[in-house]
Parts: sequence; C-alpha cells; structure tokens
Amino acid sequence: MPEGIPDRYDTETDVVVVGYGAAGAAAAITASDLGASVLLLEKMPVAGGNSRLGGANIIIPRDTRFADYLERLSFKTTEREIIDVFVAEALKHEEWIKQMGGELEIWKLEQMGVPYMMKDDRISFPGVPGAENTARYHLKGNKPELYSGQRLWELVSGNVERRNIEVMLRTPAKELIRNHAGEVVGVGAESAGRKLAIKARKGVILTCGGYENNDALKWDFLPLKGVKFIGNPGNTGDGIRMVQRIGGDIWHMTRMACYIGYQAPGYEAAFSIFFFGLGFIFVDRYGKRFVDETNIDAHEYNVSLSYFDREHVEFPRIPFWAVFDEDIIRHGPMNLGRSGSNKDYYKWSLDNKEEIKKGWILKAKNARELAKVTSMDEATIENTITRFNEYSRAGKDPEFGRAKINLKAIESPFYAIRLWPALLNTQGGPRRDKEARVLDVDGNPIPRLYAAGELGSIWGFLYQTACNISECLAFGRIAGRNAAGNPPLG
Amino acid sequence: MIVLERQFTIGAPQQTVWEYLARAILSSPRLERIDIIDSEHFDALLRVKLGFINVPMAVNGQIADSVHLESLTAKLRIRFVKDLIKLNQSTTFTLSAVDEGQTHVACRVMIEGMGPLLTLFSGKVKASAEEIISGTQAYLERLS
Repeated sequence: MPEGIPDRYDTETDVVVVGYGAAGAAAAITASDLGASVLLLEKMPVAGGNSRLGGANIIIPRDTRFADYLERLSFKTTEREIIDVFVAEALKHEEWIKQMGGELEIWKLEQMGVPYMMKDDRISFPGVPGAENTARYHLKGNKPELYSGQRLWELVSGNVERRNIEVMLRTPAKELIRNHAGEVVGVGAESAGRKLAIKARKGVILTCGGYENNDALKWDFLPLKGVKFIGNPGNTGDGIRMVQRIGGDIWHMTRMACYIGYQAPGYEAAFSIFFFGLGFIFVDRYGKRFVDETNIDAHEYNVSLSYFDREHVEFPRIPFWAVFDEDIIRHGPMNLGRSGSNKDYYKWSLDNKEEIKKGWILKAKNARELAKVTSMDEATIENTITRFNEYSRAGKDPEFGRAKINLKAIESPFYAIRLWPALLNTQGGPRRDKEARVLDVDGNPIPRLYAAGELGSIWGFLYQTACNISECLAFGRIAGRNAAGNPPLG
Repeated sequence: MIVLERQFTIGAPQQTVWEYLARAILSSPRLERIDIIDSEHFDALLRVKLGFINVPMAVNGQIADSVHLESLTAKLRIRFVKDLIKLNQSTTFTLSAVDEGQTHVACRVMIEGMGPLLTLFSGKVKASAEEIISGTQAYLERLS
C-alpha cells in the first residue's frame, strides 16, 4: 500500500539523507560527487550525531584477510558477503580521507592517557585468526586540541559545506513515503511545527543513529536493563520505527557498544568516567568486587555488568559503585570532557571537588561510613577493601588477575561514585544487504531505501574497537553511490 | 641550570617499557589536576613542599621529541604566582635493551629558571624533579 503519497511535495531532491553524522556526511558527499542533488535532514539543532562526540578511531584492514576475523566475530549474525564488501570499502578509507583533505595517523598505545594498563584494544580479540590484519587510525589534525571525533566531524562537515549540500537542522523525519510499486519516494518531516513532504527522486538513505535515548526500546531489546547513554540524545530509534512501519526487517537489536557512566541529576546523558590513578575498585551494590577493573574492553563493559541474580531477581551490578581514594581525586578529572554530549554543557572540575560538593561523588572517612553513604553491606565492603589492599601489597590479585602494575592499595578517606553501563551506541536497526539496501521481513530490498552507520550496523555479535566509524564511512559511501545511481522518478 | 641524572633497569622488554613510559610520567604523585589537552600536551598542578606548606605551581607539559622505542622528553614549563618563579624542566628518558627481557632507562633532567624567588626554591625544585623520576621508576618497576 502506498504510504500516504501527498497531493503535492514541499520540496524535492535526488537523494534525501536522514541523519547528519559521519555516515550521513559520507553518503551525502558521495551522492553529490556523482551528480545527485542531496538534502540532509537532521532532527537536532547541532549536527554530528555520535560521530562528533566520540573518539572517531577508524579501523583500516591491512588486507582482505581481515574479513576472516570479522566473520568469526560476527558469529553468523552478518553474512560473509556483507563483511567482504565492508572490508573492500574500508581499504579505501585512507584514500578517501585524503581526497577530503585529511590525513590519518596510526593510533599509538604509548600516547598519553589514563595511567593504568588499559586493555590494548587495537585488536579486541587477538586470539582470533586474522586479527593481526587490524590497524587502528585516527585523524591527524592541525588543531590537536580537538578530540579526534571533532577533527573527523570538522573534516566531513566541511566537505558537505563546500559542496553546498543543503542541510536542514531541527527537521526530524517522521515517515517514509512509498508509491504503489512499494518504492520509497520521499520522506515526511517536520520543521518549525510545519509538516513537510519531501520527494526523493533517486533514494532515501537513513543514517539517523540508534536508540540509545529510548528507554522503552532499550528495555525491550538489550540484555541489560537500566542502561544509560553518553552520546547523542537525538538517537531515539526514529529510523527503526519508520522502517518497521513499512514492513522492514530489523537485526542486531541486542548489540551495543557500552562504556560506564555517571548519570547526574538534571542531565539527559551520562558522563563517561575515567580513573586517573590506580587506587580504585568496582563493587556491586553489596560491596563485592566482580572484575579486573583495568582489563575491560572499552566497548564491552556490559559483559562484566551482565550478571543476573535469579534468586533476588536483580542485576546486582546495575548500578555499581567505583570506590577510590584521594590519589584519584587529586590526579585529574573523572570526566575528561572531550567526548559525550555533556561536554557541550559541563566542564568537570580538575580536582573533582565541585562534583563532591554536588554529591555526585560521595566521601567517607572509613569503610563503615562508606557503607552508610552507599547503602552497601558494611562487612562486605570492609572485607573487599582489606583483601584488595592485601593483594596490592603482595602484587598479585588471585580473584580477578589484575596486573601487578595496576595494583595499588586504596587508602582512606574513601570516595565512591555510582556508575551505570552507559552506551556509546546501539548497533541494531534495519537489516541491510551488501548494497546498503534496507530489507523487508521477507529478505527483499525495499526499493530506493538505504541505511548506514549505527542504524542497523553490521556488527551483530562481538565488536572490534573502532569499527563503528569505519562502517559509517564505508556504508555511507556505498549507500550514497547506490542511491545516486538510481534512475530518477518521474 | 640544574642537571640531574639517574639510571635504572626495568625487568620488562623495551617495547613494553616504551608503551607505558608516558603513562608512568603522568602517574607521578607530584602531578595533580592533570588536564590532557591533546596527545602531546597537558596542564597540571605541581605541589612543591616548602616547610609545612605545599606550594602549588602551574605546569604546562609536553611529551615531545619522541623517537619510537628509544627516547622521549617530558618538557614542563612550571610557573608560580605571576612568574615569581619560572622554570623550564626537561626530562629525557632514553631506553635501551639490556637483553630480551630487560630495559635500561637513563634519565637526564635539565632545569633552567628565573624569577626573584628562584634561589629560595631551587633545592625544592630539584627534589620535586627527583620525585617525578622516582615515581616514573616505581611505576615502571611494576612491569617486571
């Protein structure tokens, strides 16, 4: 059935791109360079999506054998031909970035960062065959003060601007318009309270992100409950609902890239939290340690937090507590202010004192007082701290194997901050094929409809760090090429 | 000018020591309120003890002159209250493999300063520089 074809359109263009982050920019630039007119719709007042707000590291395979590694990680949730297409396109990233006027440099483990030995996530799963073909890059910039996500955003949005591609901010897309043949021929949107019907002569590309800020969708689909988000508050699953309404299939809805964050009162997004010293541990709500705090993949904190207590019918680690000492407080801010949407509104104090005053960080003279202010079990937390300190002095953590270099006893006074799993992004959304075409529930492409980026990303099971942006750029370009290559509607 | 030199051996391969060297420098307990500006620059606070008082000094830091696996320099520009003291402290760490599992680390610190209160602080400044090296050494020793 045609999806409400309007009597007349308010405007028309060749390609409509819904969502203006890196994937949308890549799609728009590619379509424009192939001669298509492009309209970029963005629901938020500021564009960039999660791409602007994150680290924007980019994986470029060393060669095509990288596909073997990714196929293994996908655990049959993504077809090999899609992975092959991704790898082939990702091999062109360096050249494409150069054409855009940028330059990539290899990401170095020895760069400054948090002082503990983080898991080396250049290669997230080093034991899997083909992993050695992973190479991680970020954008080199002549503005080093910008975090790499912002540098990438400046580069791609600058290229959108130079091509005079029209951008409509504060213009959320609401529905996909189809003709009698089932082709997607336009988008219904809203701007300044007015409904708009936009004709897409060649195609519509959805790059509007996931559903990090949709509690209902998160509760339904994610295996952890009570998950917060760090990035773009505009990611409310709009693209998923639009596609479902026209019979589109969805995939990878249980997958996420998950860090840890503090949900401050009055803030929509959580603050990503780092520890600028070694004197910290993670404990569940009862005060029990549960993991080597320094050896967690930056995108897979959900794994450590996923334990469900069937006896008490609860997730005892959601939220959890980080317990730490003055070493952490003095050393540096617990939020680095370089990523996440809150960086636009709030600068964390360098000595964390403001956040103590606000009650975001709790202080306690001793373990007893710590238990009181956090409602942890006193005996449990006291025992946990005592044992951890013994391990630190001995240089060995028999419970969780925290490396000797990362062991340091925690001295009173103690501090605590309540933390949640906090999404960098979801991965689920419309199922797509190797041409970035969105598929219906029978596995057939919905004509003239494409998707790219985290909206229905190809990462369906295990996630290799830095592949999200890599995928944005790869499938953004594929979608842009294919949409621009369609014959125009009459 | 103040010059300090120290050498020590770490029971870990050179590659490993190299990968953690910048973190080790930043781990120094003397450095507080570290604000990482970008991959090379940071700001921080350095507290220098003068009697019973901890005197806070502003630090603009840079990890520079990096020769992969071999050496890098932590350059600190240290200032106290409207340049009553101004110091440039340059600490170069040079690595060399002793054998497969050990790395020799040579540290050389050069401190140049000016300001009306420099003479009063010079002993303490030297002690602080030594503490930064000691902190770095202590961190790296845990790689063994």
